[in-house]
Amino acid sequence: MGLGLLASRALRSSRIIRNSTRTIVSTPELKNADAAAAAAAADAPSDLPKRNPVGGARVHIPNPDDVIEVFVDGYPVKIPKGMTVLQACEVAGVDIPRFCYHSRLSIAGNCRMCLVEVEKSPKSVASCAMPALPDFVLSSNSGLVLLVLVENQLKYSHCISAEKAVYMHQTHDLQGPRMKIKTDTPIAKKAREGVMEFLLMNHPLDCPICDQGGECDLQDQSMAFGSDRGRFTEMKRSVVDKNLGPLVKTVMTRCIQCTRCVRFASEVAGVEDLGMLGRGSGEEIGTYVEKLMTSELSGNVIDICPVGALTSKPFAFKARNWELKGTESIDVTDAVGSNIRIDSRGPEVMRVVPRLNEGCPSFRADLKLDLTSTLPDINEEWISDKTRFFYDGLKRQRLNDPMIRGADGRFQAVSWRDALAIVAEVMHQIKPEEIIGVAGKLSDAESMMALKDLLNKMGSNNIFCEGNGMCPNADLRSGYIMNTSISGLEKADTFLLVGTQPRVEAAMVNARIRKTVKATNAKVGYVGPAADFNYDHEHLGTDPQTLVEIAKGSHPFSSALKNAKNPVIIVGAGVFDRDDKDAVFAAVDTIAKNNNVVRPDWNGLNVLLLNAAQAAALDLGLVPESDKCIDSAKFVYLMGADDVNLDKLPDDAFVVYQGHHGDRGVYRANVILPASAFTEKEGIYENTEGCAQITLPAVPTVGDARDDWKIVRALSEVAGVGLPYDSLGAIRSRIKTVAPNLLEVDERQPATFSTSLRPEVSQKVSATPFTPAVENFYMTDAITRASKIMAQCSALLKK
Amino acid sequence: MASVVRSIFQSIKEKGIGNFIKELKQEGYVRCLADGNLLQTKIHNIGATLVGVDKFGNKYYEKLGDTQYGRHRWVEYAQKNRYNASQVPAEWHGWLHHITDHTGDELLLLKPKRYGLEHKENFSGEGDAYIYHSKGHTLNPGQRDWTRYQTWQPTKKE
Repeated sequence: MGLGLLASRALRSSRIIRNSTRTIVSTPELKNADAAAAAAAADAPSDLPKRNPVGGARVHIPNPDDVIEVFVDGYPVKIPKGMTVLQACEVAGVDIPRFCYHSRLSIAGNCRMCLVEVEKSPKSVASCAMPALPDFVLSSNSGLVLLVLVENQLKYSHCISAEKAVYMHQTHDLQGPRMKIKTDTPIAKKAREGVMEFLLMNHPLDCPICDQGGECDLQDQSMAFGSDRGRFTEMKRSVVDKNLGPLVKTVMTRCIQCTRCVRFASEVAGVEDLGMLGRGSGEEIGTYVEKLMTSELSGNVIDICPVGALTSKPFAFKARNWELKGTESIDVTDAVGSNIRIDSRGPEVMRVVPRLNEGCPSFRADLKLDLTSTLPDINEEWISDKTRFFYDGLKRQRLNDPMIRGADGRFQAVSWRDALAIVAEVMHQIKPEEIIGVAGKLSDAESMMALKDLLNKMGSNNIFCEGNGMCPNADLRSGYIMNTSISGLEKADTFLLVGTQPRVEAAMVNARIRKTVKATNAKVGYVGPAADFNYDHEHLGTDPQTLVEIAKGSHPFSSALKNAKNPVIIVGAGVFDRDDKDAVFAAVDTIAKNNNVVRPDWNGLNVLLLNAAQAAALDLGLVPESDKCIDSAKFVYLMGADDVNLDKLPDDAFVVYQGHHGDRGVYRANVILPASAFTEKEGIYENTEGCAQITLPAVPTVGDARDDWKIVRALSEVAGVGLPYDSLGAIRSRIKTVAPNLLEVDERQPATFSTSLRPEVSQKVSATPFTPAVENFYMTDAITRASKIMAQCSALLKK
Repeated sequence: MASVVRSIFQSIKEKGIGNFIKELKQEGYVRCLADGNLLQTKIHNIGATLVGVDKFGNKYYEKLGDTQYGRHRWVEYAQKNRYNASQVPAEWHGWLHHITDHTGDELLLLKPKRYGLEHKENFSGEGDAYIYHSKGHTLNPGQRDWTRYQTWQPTKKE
């Protein structure tokens, strides 16, 4: 028997002894605690390579006295007071694994994935729930039992809250060693591995048939932090799926009980539908009674769910996320201009997901972080269900060929040349003042500019955008945009909503108002028809008379406005269609003047627009010469306008419909010119707060369709009044001469002059009550009306 | 050789000279003159046992004894002008290639019908109609519709 054989035997026997403990921990250093401690001490801070904060996070420290210093893996980090250990780690450039923690939701601390080691604490701590503390070392279990050590001596041992600990620190002026957080020690690694093993115990191994596969937090983190084998041999539990409606698909067996969806529903969406039932292994998320999730933001639970328990129903089994091409674009279904990513595969839009857009780092706003940035902060990271699920409308009812209505009243597909020739010929036969143009809800700035230029060259100035009414006031930009800005609404403490139901008109603005109301108990007064709100509000009245009373100060709500520090008035764009709109705006101006709503440091006077095209149309001056122009029109150019009222149009008028969907507008049309939808073209849209943004083409155009501005440009050529631009760049320099703010993309341009410059109006407000501007939240324009999912939603979710 | 000549004369006597010549043509004897493969098969056939005929008319022969082992089973294709190995149906393939000793007829009796598709010979290189085109190919008559959108259908309103 040779030496080698002996040695191998000895090795084998020792391995058997080691394996008898059946450990799965892949950190053998733990076996030898002294050596590990020595190794930890060895990498003490001296000259460590520089680390960058996670996700480019920036810390804005308003008060230099509130700075504390902690050590993360030996790196000293300066953070403001009140930050959690997890946030301190992010600033230090360490990404802590987490499931339940979400920067925009309250802290639950129940997944335990974010455990880190803190020096002098007997146990590892959940970093998401633990405040980073300045001078003494706390050890806690969910921040409830605290041992306070000062200069390594136990001073307090209390059952207190984390807030109280901070308070104690402030009052006692304690000095001691800095908090030392360790994220890559054997203890932290073992803790993560153990937590991951528990999470995977009851999680099904169905990644191959799971829609979350490839974008699953559990998948990623088990690869990064989990063990390479499991020890669980018993049966896994199973949970009955819940029916949450037509949008969210549930596979509740996959749920890891992070409660993000429960917190989202109650905190952001404002519906107390979801909850946690049962305890222990019987714990499950549910609605308790069979109930659909009736929220306009319900789709966001799909994004925040870290596993595949809540997935998109329309997207189920349609594609894998690695097959998709993401295009960062803008939503045009309402005036908010939510930032979205259009995920497409080939010529198809497969899904729409929100794009994180915020001026501040990914920490909660209540942490006194930098909010002064001019970067757009529009939809945080949520989008409404309409934005998320209307995309199947892009594939239905599309116009793909130019068509001419024949003598028998039937449409016939023709070539572009013939269609444009006929339009140009008719246009020349008609008197210039009888030509009108109507821009639709979804028109981009370029095409509206081109159409206005074309009509002006033909001698007509009757062009307007639907939704703006027949005599819009485009003189003062502050009179039609949201002057406070959407993120600015968070600073308000009193709201007066005039004829607007933000929940259906602009769901993301409504979410901001709700956030403010929840955070600061801001008062909300509402004038308008009975409406659905998901926060406390006072219904002051239904007609403009109430406004006059508030302006006079005789209404009980006027005292609330008077006492408010940052009052906000939001007027709905539905008012534009009222006959007494000047009087309503005058009343609003009086209220603003009396209550100091517009100050140098605060502008609380807002108009909440309805459609993506409205703000840009008014900026470009799409104002008709006469408000009765439709009654005498002989030639109407509808550029995607489906909701304009053409009842008064003479029967012999020639109607050209240029658009992408066969919706209401085509039925009156004589010629149809197919155009591209917003997912297929590059276009500038200005949202309700005056922030210009650009859509990018995600998919190719359909059939023979062309970009809107190109059609208008081609028509001008055929008509012999060629427009002086041939490219997108050239048309944008034309826009620059009219409305330069439209080219300041992704940067909000506040209005220069306040509405106090408006002329006096002698008009009296009428007693007609305000009417709801949006009848059906899910179906507001040509694309959403073509969508099957939206039809389903409005059938099931609209009461 | 004498027996061959004798049997020829016998069949001429039975069928008449016209029918005999017709049969010669059908059986490929005329073609033999130009096609050496066929001629060799015909010569090979002399004294061999006909084991079976499949549904296409291919004849399967076996000759044990003085034939070289491995060359003792062969097929005479039904088509004399254009023949290739893909014309052998699946049930006879095993017998012909010495995979099994069951003849194709036995296999058909032995098992319920298992093959989903009728045997089809390979037409590669036989013209456009026989070339495989993928489901997206324009020349595929059942070409798949790759349009991913529905068009608006003009309907007369009112």
